[in-house]
Amino acid sequence: MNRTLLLSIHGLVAILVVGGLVALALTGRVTIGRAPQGQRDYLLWTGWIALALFFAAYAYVLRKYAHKLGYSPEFRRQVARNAMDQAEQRLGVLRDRIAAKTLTDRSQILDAARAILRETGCGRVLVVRVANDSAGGPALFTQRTEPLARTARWMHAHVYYGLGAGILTFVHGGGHFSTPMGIALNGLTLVVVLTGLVGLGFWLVGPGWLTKEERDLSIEEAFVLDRHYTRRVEAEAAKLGEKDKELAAALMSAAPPGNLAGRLIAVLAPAPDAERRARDLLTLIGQRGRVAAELARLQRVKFAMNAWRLVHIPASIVLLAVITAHVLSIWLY
Amino acid sequence: MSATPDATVSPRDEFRKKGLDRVQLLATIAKDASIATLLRGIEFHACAPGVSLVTQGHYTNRLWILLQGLADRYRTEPGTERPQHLGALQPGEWFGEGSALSNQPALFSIEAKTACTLVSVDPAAFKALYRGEKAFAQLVDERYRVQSLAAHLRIVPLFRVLPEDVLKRLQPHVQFELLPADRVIAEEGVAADAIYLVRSGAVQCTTVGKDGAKRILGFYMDNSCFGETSLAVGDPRWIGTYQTMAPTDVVKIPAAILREVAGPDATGQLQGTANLLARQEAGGAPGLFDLLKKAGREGAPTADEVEVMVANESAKGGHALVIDLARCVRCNACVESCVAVHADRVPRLSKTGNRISTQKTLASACYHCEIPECMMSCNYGAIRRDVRGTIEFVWDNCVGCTSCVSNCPYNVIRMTPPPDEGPRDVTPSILANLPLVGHWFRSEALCGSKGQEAGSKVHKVTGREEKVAGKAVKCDLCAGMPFEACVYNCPCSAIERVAPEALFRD
Repeated sequence: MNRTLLLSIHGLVAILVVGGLVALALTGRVTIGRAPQGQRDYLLWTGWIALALFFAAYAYVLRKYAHKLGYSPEFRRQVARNAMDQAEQRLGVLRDRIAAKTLTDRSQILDAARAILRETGCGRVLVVRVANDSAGGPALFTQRTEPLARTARWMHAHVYYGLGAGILTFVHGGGHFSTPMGIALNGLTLVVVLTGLVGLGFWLVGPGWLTKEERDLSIEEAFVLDRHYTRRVEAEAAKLGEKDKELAAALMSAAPPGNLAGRLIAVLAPAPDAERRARDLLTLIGQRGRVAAELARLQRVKFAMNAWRLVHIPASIVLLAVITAHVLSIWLY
Repeated sequence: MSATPDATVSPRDEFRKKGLDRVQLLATIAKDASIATLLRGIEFHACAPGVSLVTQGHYTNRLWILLQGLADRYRTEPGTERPQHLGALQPGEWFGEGSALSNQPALFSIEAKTACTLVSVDPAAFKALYRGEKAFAQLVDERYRVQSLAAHLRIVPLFRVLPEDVLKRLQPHVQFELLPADRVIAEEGVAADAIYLVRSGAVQCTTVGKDGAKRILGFYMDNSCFGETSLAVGDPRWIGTYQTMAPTDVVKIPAAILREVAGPDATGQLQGTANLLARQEAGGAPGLFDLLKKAGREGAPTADEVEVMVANESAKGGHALVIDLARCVRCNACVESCVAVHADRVPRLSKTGNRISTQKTLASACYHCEIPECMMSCNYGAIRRDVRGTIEFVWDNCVGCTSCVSNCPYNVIRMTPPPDEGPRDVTPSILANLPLVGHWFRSEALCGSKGQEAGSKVHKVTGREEKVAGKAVKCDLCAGMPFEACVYNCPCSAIERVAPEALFRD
């Protein structure tokens, strides 16, 4: 099970913020929901914070696709390979000085290393830190800057802030389904949060399930093998197609008929090794069929793991539109 | 400007016609075959005064010969800021031989003083001449001894403490040896008597355990050094048998001569470093076989993992990309993010790989091996190790012969489409996961196919026709980027780059 989610700082932030606001309501200090029973300040605070949390949750999607499509601002930080080589070369000289103990002061080491990164332009992609080596002396290390933080952390933010936003939406509106906006906001939030929780469940246990199901082949290996066998069968079918189009089509079908041997030998007959070739081809078709069946089985498991997204993603898009409409309507009217 | 040999005249006539026989170094070439090799690997260049020809610390893997004009030679010593002027190169003089032989960064900066004409020799042709022409190699070595040796020796930690004058006095005593493959350089247990610097080729150090099994202690390639412990106090012995794995050029420095030349003060300093290295050799960090034994003691599952890794040669890797299957939701973000950072849209990793346990898979992405078999198989100088230790491809030199693809033990090198074919469509789609219709939306490249149908191209040195299939590419650790895309973009923290040994430390 993936336990990294439990160690996230975003979980703590979401619990503190949302928990604090919910605690206020539970202790009876404020009444949730719309005026006149509700308190205006509380209503506004929960509204704005829920909105902020929603944006934080949606930011995960934005960050993911910005990178995937090549629009991430991080791409512009790339430095030339020569500059990286030069920086590493100069850092190597610095490391020599550290090893020779002519440079021992940690702040001086850091300053010198940072100056190298600055001068070579590599400060955009590398950061330096000084830690203890095995003998307890200072040692210089470099690592990537990772300016926007890893997607895993954004994923944690997505989960916790999304969940928090859902709770705050309920608190903000008082859980009323009496108006069209209430039905839309609360209903969609409920759908998004519940499908998200299902997804979270699969996120935690799904990999273990799929791995268990991958008996002899991983899903990726099955995919590659399936493609390989299909290509080979296609090539053979193309050759046979010149003589017997029907037979070629039968070879290519997902479930080839069982009486192919005789027809294959008949088509291949003039060749001296017709029987051997027919046997090889039948073995190939059999292998392809088994791999295809295995791939289909694993893909069904993978689909089951991802089916929640078919509801979660469209519902989230509609929810974003409804939230925008709600905020604009409050703002304007 | 490229020099294309004319098919109607003999190589020697062509050689004379170009005036290359008047160049002292090239005039030593005796065999016609060597001249033909040279002509296939040379280019002529002209440059204006002030142009930087080579920059210290940068890579240049060609040999450069100055035909006309003058060029200044500079070097900045470590710890100093100002480059020191070391004199001017005259017509007929050459530079870059060290880099061409051992892929080391340039030891000097060379700048054109006047308008210059130069001829450059590609590394494959240069190595062929160096190994096939005795007089040529001798001349190169003698000049290297005078001009570059002292600076080159400075890359060995042991020699960094030596004053300049000691290095100068050492120069005449240094021996250059060109050894064939499988030659034993030193035997285990015999008194260690020399220090070796490997300029090109590869040397392995092995020992035989009490159980009779051969254990590899280390490999020595471009610019690595062994035998420093021969200067240690006491009776230093070779800790293993050192044997060449391929034709290898070494620089040999006899320990006795070094002691004599260095004098008592410098020898004391050298011994201090040598003693430290000897202590490290005696009780250094555990090797894979120690870990194997430890794993065997601590439980079968881990021992199995190590055995699988050893059997699959995964243990050779410098840094492996490990996928934790208990976390990976198979969303393909790692592959897609890899595609996003490379202009050719070819992914550098595939999730198919060696499964080392029920929980972990070694993804097929370059391991940046300690002994890169791809590099050893490349005849074009298109693969080298950079200063960060990563193995990188030099696209300009790659002719697409696919020898690296077939020699990579992990099947991690792929070919890009030939330039005229343009990039492959690898746009991933969420619909690719759908049953029944998913295959309509899948892109084959995302699972990493190995190569493409090849065209052909003539080998620059051998003249043989070889297959061409675009350019070879592999994981470059997202060079120049502020992140390593696959690790950075995994939403499940399922993928990490680790040293294979680290998998068994916990």
